[in-house]
Amino acid sequence: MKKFLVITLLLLASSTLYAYIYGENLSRKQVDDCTYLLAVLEKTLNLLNTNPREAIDIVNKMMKTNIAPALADPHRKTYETLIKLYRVLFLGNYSDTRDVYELYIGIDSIADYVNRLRSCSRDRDAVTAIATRIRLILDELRSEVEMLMYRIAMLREYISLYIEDKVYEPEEAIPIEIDILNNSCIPRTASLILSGTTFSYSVFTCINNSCYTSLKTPSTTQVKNYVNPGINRIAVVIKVQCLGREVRVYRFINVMYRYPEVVLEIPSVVKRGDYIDIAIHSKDDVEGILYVKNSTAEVPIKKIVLNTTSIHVALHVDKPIFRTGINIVKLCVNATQKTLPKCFEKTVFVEPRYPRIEVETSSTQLTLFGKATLFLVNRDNATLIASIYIGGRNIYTVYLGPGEEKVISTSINIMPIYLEDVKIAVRDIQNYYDTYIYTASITVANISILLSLPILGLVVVTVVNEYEKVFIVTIATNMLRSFRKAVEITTVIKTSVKPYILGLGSRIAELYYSVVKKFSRLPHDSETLREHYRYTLIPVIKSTHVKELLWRFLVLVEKDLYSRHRQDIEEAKKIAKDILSEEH
Amino acid sequence: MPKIYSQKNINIVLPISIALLMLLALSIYIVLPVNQRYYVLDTGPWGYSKLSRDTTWVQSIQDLKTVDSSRTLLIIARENYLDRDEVEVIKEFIEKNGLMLIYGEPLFIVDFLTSLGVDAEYLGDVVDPVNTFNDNVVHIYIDHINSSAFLVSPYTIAIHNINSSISIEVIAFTSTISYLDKNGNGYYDIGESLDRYPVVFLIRIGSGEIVVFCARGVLTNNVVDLNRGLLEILLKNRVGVLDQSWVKHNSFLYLKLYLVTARGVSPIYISIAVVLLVLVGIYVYRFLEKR
Repeated sequence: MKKFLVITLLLLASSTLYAYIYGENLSRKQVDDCTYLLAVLEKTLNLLNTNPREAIDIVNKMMKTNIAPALADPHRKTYETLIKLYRVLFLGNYSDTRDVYELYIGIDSIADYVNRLRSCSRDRDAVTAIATRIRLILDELRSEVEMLMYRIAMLREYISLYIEDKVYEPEEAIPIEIDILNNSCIPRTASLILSGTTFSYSVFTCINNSCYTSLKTPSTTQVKNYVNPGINRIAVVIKVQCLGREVRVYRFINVMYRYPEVVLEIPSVVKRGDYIDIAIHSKDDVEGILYVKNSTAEVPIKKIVLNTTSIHVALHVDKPIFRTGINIVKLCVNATQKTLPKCFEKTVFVEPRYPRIEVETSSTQLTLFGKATLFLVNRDNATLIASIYIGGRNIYTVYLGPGEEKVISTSINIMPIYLEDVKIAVRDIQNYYDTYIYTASITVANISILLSLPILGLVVVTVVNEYEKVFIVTIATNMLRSFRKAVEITTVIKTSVKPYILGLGSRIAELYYSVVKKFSRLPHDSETLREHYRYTLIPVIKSTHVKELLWRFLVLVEKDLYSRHRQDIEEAKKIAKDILSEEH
Repeated sequence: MPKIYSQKNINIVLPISIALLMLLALSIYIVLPVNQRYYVLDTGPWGYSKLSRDTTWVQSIQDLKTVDSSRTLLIIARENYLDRDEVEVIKEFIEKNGLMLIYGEPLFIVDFLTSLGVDAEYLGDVVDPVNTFNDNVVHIYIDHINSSAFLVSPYTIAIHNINSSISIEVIAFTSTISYLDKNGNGYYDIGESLDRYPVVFLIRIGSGEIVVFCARGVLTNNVVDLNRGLLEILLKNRVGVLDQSWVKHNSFLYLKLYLVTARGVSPIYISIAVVLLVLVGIYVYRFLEKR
């Protein structure tokens, strides 16, 4: 048992490791190119008629393809429907009309998928042609499926079904008549089904072999989420009990759904503070809500009931409902029994109305202390608020009563000449007007500083003149001292690291140094070997013989270092050995 | 002040330091990984480090004259063109029952085919979204040899005219819903035809064959594991020989190829070599100095 467990664990671990090593490098790339998916769908639909086998090959490939999650579900449904289409239309593989009807519903899901692909394509306009061609193919397929359902019903010869072939209006009665061809058949119910939802249902009444009933087309309100404006195909499903089993017979009727005809009239340009007259009328009795949509919000204005009589709505072009620039007046009408819901829009351009204020300033200002000056005059009847921005920062906010004048000065600036960026935003207290923006770049000359600078310069020169030489000498002396100090430090560093970087250049000298080190310090960079011998070594060595040996050694080193001919290292080694043995 | 630091001694330190640095730089260059397509020492996605474990390589196409063609699978992938002399050697190799697998940059393949007498034209890169894996690896199936193949960045070529002494046939296509990415933006655009495109050709010259893959990678590190099955079929009773002759145009790559064994080079060996070289240099110098 244990062995089995261990083997299982080992197999599991090895397969996991294999999957990790090889599996992680091999994952299918996710397909999210909507244009490509649309083109593949078109190609598949075309091939269904010309080369069904290749079409099914593509369908199988697409079913296995890794599709972006947002599209995966409709993608799968679409290609499942295509397989069903192939089985039903080309192989005749279906059990009853219900299968065929489900296929009919499936075609709608393909249309939905096409819409989604079109909306996520990079160039929607360019793919419109493909989407349109696909829709035409889908319409043909729908007709084929409908025909198939007719044929199935006819072949079975259970009943004869009569429904008037015309375009029905919403809420119109649909009389249905059945002649029973097979005496074992009993018609049970008739239903009106759209997108899988039953909207009307009735039971047959039979006299002899003829049965009657009536359905009613759904009102627009009922089907507003399922239909498009124009003619819509809705299925009539008749359930008949024949030879002890339920048989379904399908027919399709045309029902027209449309938008209401609403006329919305507004002027294209208005000015802030004006009143805008909106004239609306409709051929249908509808009601809805009027909105104003500006660049930031959509504001509901009022509920409106419409009929053929024109109504007028006067709106004050006021903040915050209307903003300067393009605004949209929108009327959204609800669905009625006869018409679909729809929003009607018209644009209106709102021109700004500014408070009457005068701002005076000159582009170049000669000032005593570098303060730029602005002159404001309120020519309006309302109190105005002026916010002054210097260099992007709000420096002052001033209130100006009707007719009031104000002089604004910026703060003192110590620069002799500078550029002041000024922005003034003026609004009214009631917030009735649009904000008026004034901008200016003012070159400001500061006379005080301009005059002070040369004077100060002269004073400094005069005062310092006497001490000039002292000043220069002080600086020079200090600099020289610092330089010398720096040179000293670098020399010390150089001296200490030199032997390690360069070596001594003579093996005899290296040997001499190693011997000398036994007695005293090594020679400094600033003394000769002889000076070192005389003043450092002689005082510490007692033996005269050693002193002589060292002197011979020193002479040997000098010869090795400076002579054209190299000295014998063996002789140096012998002297070194003698010195060391003598010392011990 | 003792003048113990002679000019002569400074001179030896400087050249030894420079030589040491140069050797160090060279050793670092040799040890560091290299990024060069189709290079046996490149361990990156486009290198041949994995393939080189199962094959040998030649540093000159002329070396093919000495191999037994009937027992060799020649693998050539390049970014640059083959010389005309090299093509002649390859033709000779193929004619003697040789087998060759070739792929690489589109212009290299077109140039190679032209030198064989095939009028070929590069049409563009092929995108096959439903068969594409990560890193632009496209899966195809080759009926002729009954094997799958994974191609990196495939493209297609059109064959217009063929020299009568050779025959050429398409042995693998992409799927029927692939497209030529004419503008190279990686997306399908209206006007880019959905179709299958030829990506593998078989050329017969004499008693030998050339399998031409229109792809930038087939046996490179990024897909070689996926193409093991294909390689085993092609290697049946043959020894794989990689073309590394193009390396001669790059002195550093060439040197590196010479210095490195198939097992790789150890930094320790290089360090030891550098130290030995420096020691020898110093002793030689001292010896000469004494004389």
